Amino acid sequence: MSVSFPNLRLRRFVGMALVLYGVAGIVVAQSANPPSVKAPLPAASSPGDLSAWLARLQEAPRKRVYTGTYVVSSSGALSSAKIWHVCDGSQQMERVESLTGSPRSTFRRNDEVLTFHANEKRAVAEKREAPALFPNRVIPGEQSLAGHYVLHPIAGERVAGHDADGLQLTPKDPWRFGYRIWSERKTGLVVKLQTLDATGRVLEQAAFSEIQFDAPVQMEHLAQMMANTGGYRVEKADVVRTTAAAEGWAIRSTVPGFQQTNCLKRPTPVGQNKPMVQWVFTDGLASVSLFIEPFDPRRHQGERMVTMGATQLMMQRWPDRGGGDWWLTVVGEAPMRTLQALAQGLERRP
Amino acid sequence: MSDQMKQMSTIEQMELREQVSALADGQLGGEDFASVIDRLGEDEDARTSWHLYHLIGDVLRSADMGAGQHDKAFVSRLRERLQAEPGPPRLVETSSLNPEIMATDGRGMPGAKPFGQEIQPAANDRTYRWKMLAGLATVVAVAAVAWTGLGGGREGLELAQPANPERVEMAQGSGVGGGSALMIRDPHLDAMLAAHRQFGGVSALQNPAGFLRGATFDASAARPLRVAGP
Repeated sequence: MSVSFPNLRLRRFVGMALVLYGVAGIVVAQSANPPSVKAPLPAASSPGDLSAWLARLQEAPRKRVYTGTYVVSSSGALSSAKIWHVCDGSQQMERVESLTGSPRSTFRRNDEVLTFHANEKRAVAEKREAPALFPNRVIPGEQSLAGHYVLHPIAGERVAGHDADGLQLTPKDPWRFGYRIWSERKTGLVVKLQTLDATGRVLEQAAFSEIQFDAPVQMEHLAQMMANTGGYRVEKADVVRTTAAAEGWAIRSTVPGFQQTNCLKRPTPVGQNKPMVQWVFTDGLASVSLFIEPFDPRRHQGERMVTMGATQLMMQRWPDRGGGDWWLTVVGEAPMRTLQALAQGLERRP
Repeated sequence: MSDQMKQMSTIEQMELREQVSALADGQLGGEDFASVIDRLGEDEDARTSWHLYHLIGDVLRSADMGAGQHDKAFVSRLRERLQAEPGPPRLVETSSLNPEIMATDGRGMPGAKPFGQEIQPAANDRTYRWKMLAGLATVVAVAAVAWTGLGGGREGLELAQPANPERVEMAQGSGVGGGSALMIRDPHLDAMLAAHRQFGGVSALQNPAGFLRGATFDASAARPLRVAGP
């Protein structure tokens, strides 16, 4: 132990003083900041309040330029990524650089998404179906949100160095999860999001761990990086838009609040003539995808249900009354019972 | 001995602290060193001083606070907690348990249930499956168990439906990670998860939370918490 203070007593005194100062500091800080439950918005469950609040959340990133680190905690795994976000009024661009797992860079220009998988030298291009990304687009199910969720303010928090207002969306029935959302006080940007089960347990949590507003992000620079696919094999998802009726599918009974939105068709690994249909249902916040493909005993084994954080997954064989044999995979950020009810409501109408 | 310590005068105590301080500074040697070490073993105040001086040293040297207070109270609390733990299975026959021997570590106090009965959960215990899975997780064989088909079809689904928090917690605690390997290595399923993210996700919260979540979240790192078996 090198002695920076020759006199032991002096050293000890200074040390004690530092410790006491620290303790006093904590006490002062606590008394100066009594835990206050600030109510940024009145308890809102009318459609107008909920819509206005959602509009504010959706508008925030359309106006802002920021960089940050985003962390997702789900199913015992912690994922994080570095974020660059820029917009110039008409266009918005985003770069997400994964810091965990396999190295991936995802670029988004409006609804166009390109993900570079560095290890496989593979770039996947896709069109993101996300009406919330754009102004004046109707989100399916949004009008009926107030019928299924109660919105109420919760205590604000400091997230990533910024004060954020807290809001909770509590489901009115057991068909959906609840959410706790913290939005940055000045910009309205969602900086923290929790998904809760019926008992209030956090299933999944995503938040910025640090964020810098008005950071110097150049849109041209991001565009250049996104366009630079040299050395990468660019894959385009072979997806065709269709309707459930055209594919011979109907739903007898759906889950309260869940409406059908998209129906898409894509080839399965076994060939073009046996396509897989994806039928999406949403209540405006949560969504569930039904994937239907012809049953293949070599590939489809083991009916099962899996819980991964907020994402639930179930797979089962689905024989129709006309003698057809199908394999059904249901994926969604909703309770398992919702996935099961949708699967049970499915009907073959060729 | 400890009574003598309690009666020790304040001056003596100050002297002892001074010596402890010197010891902490590495300035003691020989007999002085040995005697202070002995005193440290007996004197609570000397031990507290020892930790405190180290803490002070740490505070002076770095911004990070040093960990101190590994005191007797902590150790005894830890010991109590350890005793309260069920403990690992032992190769001891119930009939041969000697209560007196067991009492030394607090596990087999007179009147307590024989040890052997507590460590053998019934096979129909709700947590049994997860204990079994946890054990197997270290072996690759977990996949075969976790992904056993739902033989009962929809009936099986009904049975497995109620989310049992206890079961989930068991899964978390024991890190049933082996199961994810099989699922995530299925590229077809991976593609479906990606397709769901693309056309679904948390729609109204899509921007930015939903999109960022999808782009940040590494599905292959996720461990299924609960896999409903047969």
